[in-house]
Amino acid sequence: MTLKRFISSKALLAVEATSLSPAVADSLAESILGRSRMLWELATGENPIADDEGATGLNPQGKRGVDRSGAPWGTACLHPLWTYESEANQTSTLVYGRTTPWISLGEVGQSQRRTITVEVKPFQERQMTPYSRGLLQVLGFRLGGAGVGSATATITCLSSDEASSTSSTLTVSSTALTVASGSPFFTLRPGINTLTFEVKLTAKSGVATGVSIDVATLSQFAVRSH
Amino acid sequence: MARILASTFAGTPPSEVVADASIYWRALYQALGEMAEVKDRLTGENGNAVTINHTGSGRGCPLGLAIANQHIDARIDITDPSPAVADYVDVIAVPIFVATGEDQSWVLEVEISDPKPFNEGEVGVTATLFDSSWAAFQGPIDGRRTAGGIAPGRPINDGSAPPRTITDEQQFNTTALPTYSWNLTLSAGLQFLTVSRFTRVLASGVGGNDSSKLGAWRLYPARRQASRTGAVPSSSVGNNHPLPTTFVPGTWVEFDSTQVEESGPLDAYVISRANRNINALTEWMTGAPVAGNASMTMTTNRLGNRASFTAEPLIDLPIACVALGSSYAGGFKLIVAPQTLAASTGMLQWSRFPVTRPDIVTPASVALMRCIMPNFSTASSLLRLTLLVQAPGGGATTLNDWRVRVTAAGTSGTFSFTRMGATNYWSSTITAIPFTPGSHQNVIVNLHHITPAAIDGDLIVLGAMAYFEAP
Repeated sequence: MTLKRFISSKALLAVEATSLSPAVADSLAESILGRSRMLWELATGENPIADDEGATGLNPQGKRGVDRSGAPWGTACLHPLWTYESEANQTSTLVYGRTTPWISLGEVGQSQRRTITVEVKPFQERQMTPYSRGLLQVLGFRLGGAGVGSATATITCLSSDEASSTSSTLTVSSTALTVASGSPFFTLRPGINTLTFEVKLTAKSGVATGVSIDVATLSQFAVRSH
Repeated sequence: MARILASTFAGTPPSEVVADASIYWRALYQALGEMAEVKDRLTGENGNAVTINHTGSGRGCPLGLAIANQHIDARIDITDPSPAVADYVDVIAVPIFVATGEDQSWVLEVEISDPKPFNEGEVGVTATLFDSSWAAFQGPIDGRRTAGGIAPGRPINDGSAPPRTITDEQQFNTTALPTYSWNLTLSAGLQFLTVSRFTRVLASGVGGNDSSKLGAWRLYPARRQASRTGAVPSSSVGNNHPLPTTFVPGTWVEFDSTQVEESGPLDAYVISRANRNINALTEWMTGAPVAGNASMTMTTNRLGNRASFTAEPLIDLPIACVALGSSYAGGFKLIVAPQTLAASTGMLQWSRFPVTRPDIVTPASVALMRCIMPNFSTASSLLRLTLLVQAPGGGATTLNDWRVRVTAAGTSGTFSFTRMGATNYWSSTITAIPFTPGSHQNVIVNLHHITPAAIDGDLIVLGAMAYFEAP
């Protein structure tokens, strides 16, 4: 195939752009003429010269252009990757629905694990790319009646190498939904991911009889890197 | 004088840029124009209408994000219906919003207990797509049982003689629910999806109720992976001509036609500033360093927040799609006398509805999702949520007195429901929901009734989808 239009990714070096530096045809061509072709293709997602070879490789989706899956394929958009939705802590008696908590722990030292499945869009597998990590955030509430007391649970993301697991802490002193503090994350791969996390009750006091986990989300939470 | 701009790409023949070649003014002129055009399309500046909004067909590569990744983990038992159900019940019924440019093949996967063994010979799990008037435009389509679990009543291959069979309860207790999957061709825009499962209640004491479970479901683009690792070529060695640290209108240099003329001088200012422009555009768009540089210089990203470029294109983005309950299109009511009594029949573990409607004069929460929001512009918020509900009382029932609103970073306006076709399905799309960019927040759906004394229809909440829809 004949190359019909020039392609380059080369930028002018600092030394080439100083006063009195000579104008070298192929340097100018590469830095401006060749790169404009590449920019066009990355932005529009189309090869502008129909019968020419593309200037850029295919993105992780197997398509052309920046698909915002992380560098060099564009800054990502923050968004949820996975959802567990619930109204089990609904205190209103006006709405009927599932009332069984997803995870409920009553004894200190007790723990439960849940395995979730999530599909992640293709991305170039490198460290520090936005889609290489998924942030797990859970919300829970204290079990037990009115009064003073609190319950504390640890939420741990378990990877295949448990030594590299990360965790957050949920301390709840009321029956209102509370967000666990900390930023536990899973290492993600393109495609289907099967992930396990563990919730362990570590303390309770006062009227607290335990803790319930009822809402959770896994998020793509970095734009360029972690 | 005129701003150099090239609305279409022409490029430069390689023969014009080899070493020792003449430097053609027209080649430089064209490249500067193409550079300016790309910048205008990415930023929306200068009234460019062909903005890069990731809708394909030259408007940028579609993002390819999943629509749904929901974990449900609910029993789908039916409690003492009258009359007995022996039919397909919608265990998932949701609105789905497909971003423009993503009208392609999608994969639907549902983890669900197999239908009862007496139903062997049928697949027993189907998917159907409906348009906004609830006219079925695809399906019902049988699912393909692709993974997990062992169907109740089927032999276990463990060497037992005679072979043992798995019971419903054994399957319920296993974490490996079967997965049913479909390949669906979705249209762009809002539509509705139902997944139905053949369901029957056995008489009490004769095998008990249907002991089944709905695990999780996913809806994502049918993937084709890159056959080779895509990469932006890198050939430079050494330090590049310095980049600006931000990409804002003030750091972009425009070129005038008088600066690149036939027989005119080769202007060092034009060359160096054009190089900087392209460096800046490259980092801002790709999120990667300019070839030859070890790390990013720029601190600004292409986000769609319109912080720097007030016309930066806005894009469609799915946030979360959640199934919230079940329905039965045949008119079987999942609840008994809901105006005065607590519900006692139906798929009680997998349904959600107001119990004592006359009391719901102040909004009550029927769904709560935790979502991280993109760094998009908050002016004229494009965040929407479509809620699908059913009036199980039948087609004559009206839901005209029901209202819905959504609370995220703030509370939206209040919206009514629209009946879809002549069915008992109704939906409402709540628009301009306030959100905080780059932040987690609870997205809460609230329902209330505006004339509590009126005899208005019962309502079952079926599903919701939150999404950004660009104008």
